Amino acid sequence: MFHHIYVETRALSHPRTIQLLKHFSKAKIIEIKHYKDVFNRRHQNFIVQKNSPALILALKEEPFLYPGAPVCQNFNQKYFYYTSCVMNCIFDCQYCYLQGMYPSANLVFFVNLEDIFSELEKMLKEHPIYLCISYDTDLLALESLLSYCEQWLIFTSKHPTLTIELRTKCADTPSFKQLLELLKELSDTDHSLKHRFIFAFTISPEKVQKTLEQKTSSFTGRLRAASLLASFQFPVRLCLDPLLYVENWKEQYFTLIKTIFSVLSEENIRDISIGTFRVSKEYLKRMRKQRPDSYILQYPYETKSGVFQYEEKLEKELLETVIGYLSNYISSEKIFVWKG
Amino acid sequence: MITLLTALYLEAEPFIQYFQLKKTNTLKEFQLFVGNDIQLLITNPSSISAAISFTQLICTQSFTPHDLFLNIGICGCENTNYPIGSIFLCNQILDSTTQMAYYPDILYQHPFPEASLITVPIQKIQKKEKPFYIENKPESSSAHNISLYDMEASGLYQAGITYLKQHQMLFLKIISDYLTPEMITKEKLSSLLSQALPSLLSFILTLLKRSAPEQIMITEEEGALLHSIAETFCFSVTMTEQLKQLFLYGKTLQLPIYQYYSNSFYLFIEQKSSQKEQIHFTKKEGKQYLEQLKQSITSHVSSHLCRNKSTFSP
Repeated sequence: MFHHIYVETRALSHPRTIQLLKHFSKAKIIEIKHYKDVFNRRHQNFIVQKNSPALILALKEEPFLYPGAPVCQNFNQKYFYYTSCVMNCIFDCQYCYLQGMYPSANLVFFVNLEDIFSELEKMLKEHPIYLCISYDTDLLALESLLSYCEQWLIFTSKHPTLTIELRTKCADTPSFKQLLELLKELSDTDHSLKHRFIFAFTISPEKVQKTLEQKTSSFTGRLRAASLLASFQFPVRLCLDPLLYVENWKEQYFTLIKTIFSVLSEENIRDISIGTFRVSKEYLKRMRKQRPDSYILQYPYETKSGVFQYEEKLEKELLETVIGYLSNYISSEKIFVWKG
Repeated sequence: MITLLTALYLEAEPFIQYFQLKKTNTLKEFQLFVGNDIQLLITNPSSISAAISFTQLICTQSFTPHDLFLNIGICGCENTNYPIGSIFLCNQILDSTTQMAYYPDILYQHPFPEASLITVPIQKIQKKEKPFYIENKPESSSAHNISLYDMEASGLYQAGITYLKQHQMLFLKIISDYLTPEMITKEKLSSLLSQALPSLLSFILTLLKRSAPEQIMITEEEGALLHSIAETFCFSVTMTEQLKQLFLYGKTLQLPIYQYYSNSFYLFIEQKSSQKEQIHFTKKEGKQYLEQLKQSITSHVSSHLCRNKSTFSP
């Protein structure tokens, strides 16, 4: 999986580092002073690296938690934060903002998860927290290597004022099933946990997944995972985000929603988040350079407060159409719409 | 295109012969040998000379992100467990003078063991004395890596990275001595390089076979059309960018976008010129033209793959 592993000198003796280096025993190990010496180098080619990424093992420094960005759906949560215990993703989605945000496609694993937990504990004494743990990566996709989702679940079970969102494009993998077993076990003693540890599946039309979301789990696989959760009365979050202007989009989204509700019912769904494609001006500029052949990225978007998005008329049409389809199956209170 | 970079003519000679490279006078101060898809620059020894010659080459020619630069040369090694003649690909370069560490990307499969390379400013080492660059070995010189010593890599990397991407430079080193460069003779060096040549050639030939990714860019002819449209309508910088972006979008969809822009432009001029004596457009008319263009192109998008391309017309 990784041909080269760069390790910060100070992270070398960390138990997780030792475990990971043992796992990737054939990888070439290169000791570095700081992860930024490799990750932040100038003139890296994100796309070339994406085909064959290296791994960087590092210790995270403050800040451990960040306030949620305005382009993210906050689900009306007052104390909305996110954290990055991993930077970058093993999946390769053509529209992903990470390729505009990060200078490198290499993955960074911060091995000191416990330091994030300590900081979070301090903050939880002040107020409740809604925390997204899988924004700048797909944490579940790395579960077999890191077991971070499991650690987060255990931590959440011990902190009743903490709500976690785990966003993913994974299917019902063995790691997912293992996590589900743990959730079932912990929920027996804490019924609130199933509402505080939110599995959020990003769902896209089948053709979008196949053509624009390389290496991700299939649409049906993700739906299988969601329905497995539902079968144990764990409400799931679905994210139809970003909505994309692709060929036959009305037909594609109609089929998508019809298929979702042939498997899930309103009771199984905690909420649905929808939002059209949007990305900051600076990120899109870099993304277009990285993928000059992408029709999704080269679309002539319009800027609104520094954010590139579809022109108002198209954005409205996309949102209204999809909301219209959803309204046949789910009440409007459960639909959260991102509006720029 | 692959460019080989060697410090000495002796290191270059086997490649010049194999690829039948011809000397050119493009670079006055340095020797450059060219062939098909491959060329070789002799940088002369020392980091500064390597940086100057490499910069001169990059600034004289135009390269694409697909082009690669291979520094091939001899090096010293501390560890006598590694036989003379061993070839290494270097995954980090440490500059002994500045204590800076550099990490060229290693993204291509290769058959060589990897090592850390320390670039030092001197060649001669007094016998029985530990060289100062070993005494002052940079801290980040990894315990996990074998350390090699050369005199050019850091300069090449620093010069190259100003213009190139991280994955474009590769550093291949052949152990010539155990930090006793005074023991190297011309004959020994030639023999060493002859032994290393088959492995190096095999790697270079594999790299040459890589297919270049298809690039979507605006050609000179297309640029001229966009320029004349922008000028005719007195477009602002933002509007010119929008015009260009729309054009690129059309290209990603494989639409006959040049033809479309051209036809719609002349049609618009024709319509307006019949109403006016002189072709002069107001800002409002420019905006109107751009809006028409955008609506027309984006409305074809959602079903473009199902359509026959020839039906795409203004």
